[in-house]
Amino acid sequence: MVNCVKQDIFDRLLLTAFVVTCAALLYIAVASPANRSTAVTDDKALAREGQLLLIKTLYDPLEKLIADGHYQSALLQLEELAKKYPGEPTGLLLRGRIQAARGALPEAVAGYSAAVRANGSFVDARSPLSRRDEIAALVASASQAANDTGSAEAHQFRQHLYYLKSRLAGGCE
Amino acid sequence: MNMHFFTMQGLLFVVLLVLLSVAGCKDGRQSLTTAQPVKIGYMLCNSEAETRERFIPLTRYLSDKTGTRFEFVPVDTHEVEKRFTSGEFLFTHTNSLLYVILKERFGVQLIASEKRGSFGAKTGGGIIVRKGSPIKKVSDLKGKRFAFGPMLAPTGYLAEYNLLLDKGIDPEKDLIYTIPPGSFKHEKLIYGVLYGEYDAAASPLLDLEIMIREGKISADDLVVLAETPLIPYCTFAASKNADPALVEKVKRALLELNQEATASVDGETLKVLKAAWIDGYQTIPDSEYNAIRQMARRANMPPYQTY
Repeated sequence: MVNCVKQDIFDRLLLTAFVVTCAALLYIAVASPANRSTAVTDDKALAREGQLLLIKTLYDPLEKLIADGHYQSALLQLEELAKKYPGEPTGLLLRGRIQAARGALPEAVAGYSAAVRANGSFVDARSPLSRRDEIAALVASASQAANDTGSAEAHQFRQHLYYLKSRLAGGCE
Repeated sequence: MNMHFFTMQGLLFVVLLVLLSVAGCKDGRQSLTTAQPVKIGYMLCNSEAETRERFIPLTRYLSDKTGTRFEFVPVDTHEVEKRFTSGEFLFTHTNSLLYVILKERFGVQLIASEKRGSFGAKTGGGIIVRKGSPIKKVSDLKGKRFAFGPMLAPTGYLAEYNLLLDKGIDPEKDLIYTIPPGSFKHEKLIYGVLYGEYDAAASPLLDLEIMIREGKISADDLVVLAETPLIPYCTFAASKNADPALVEKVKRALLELNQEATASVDGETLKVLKAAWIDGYQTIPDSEYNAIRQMARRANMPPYQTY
């Protein structure tokens, strides 16, 4: 014969408290700070990948238009994108690339400068967004033009140029 | 007794007049109102109302900065030359082709070039078709309905006319072309392409950019078939007889213009550049206008037109 002892409410409360405590300990053990940090890192990496994918989707067709010399079509598309994503740095950079290609160097330098201010990754050689070589080439060709320019706007032109030079040299914002 | 009273009254009146005139000369602005105004002829852009709204604050700014009272004179594109030669205005604000015409025929002095859009003091145009159009390249335009902007428009007519010639299309023989009448011509022809009235059109890049920015059209609605070289945009110039010191003052004032500069118009303080829809002014050499000279020669346009 089994002697069954009937559990009262306090027994059940005690048992529930025991189960909850075990679950809490298990959770703390699994979700330790190291694991939590990994989760955050994963989230950041995911966000970065998402951002890269978005940039690629939005701007790859425009990069092709620019490469093929269809500058006006690219500019009009940039104008359209600027309404949806105002101030988006890749758009600013591509606009600068078109301006440079068409010889508007002060405007191009201002555009690249705004892009780098908005996203420093463009001058980071290790970043997947890096446009370091492109920026360095622009700075080299614009430096001569900035020296030759004697107009009132030259000051602003040189300011943007110095900013890009300092960022390429590793200077911070 | 009465005579003495009137003499005293007359004396008081003269004293009052002298006092008022002395008080009136205390600051520059008051003295501006008494001086003879110097007139600036502004070529009408889309309409007279729009041109007034854009450039009256700039005219007021120039008055404030130079101490010379300037007056806004609206001038229809086709009347600029005639009214300039009749001496109606000493300074001119025109498109770059009209500047070249006035320079070649009357020796006007280049003051400054206007900056607007993506390429500073230069801009371009293009030949547009509707998306999905069977016209895929410029040679497909033969025999098609084409719309140009106004005949004296550098990036709405002249540059595209040359572009067509470059690509082997003679607009006079190969196209059925038209120029829409009335105001807002550039917008009209863009809409005309969009809604099928024309197969293709010549359009300034600036107008396309602005219409997209304002949501009037989408970049996906149109295809730019070919684009023109960049040429100078609107230009400030002065008669060769204008006072050199005043010309220099105007030039300095234009080059110093920044986004914060304001002018008071009808009691309202307005930002000058914002009101004028421009980004500023810069100096470029007259040789930058040579591209326009070459285009005008090739298209048999003034100032080189031969009949």
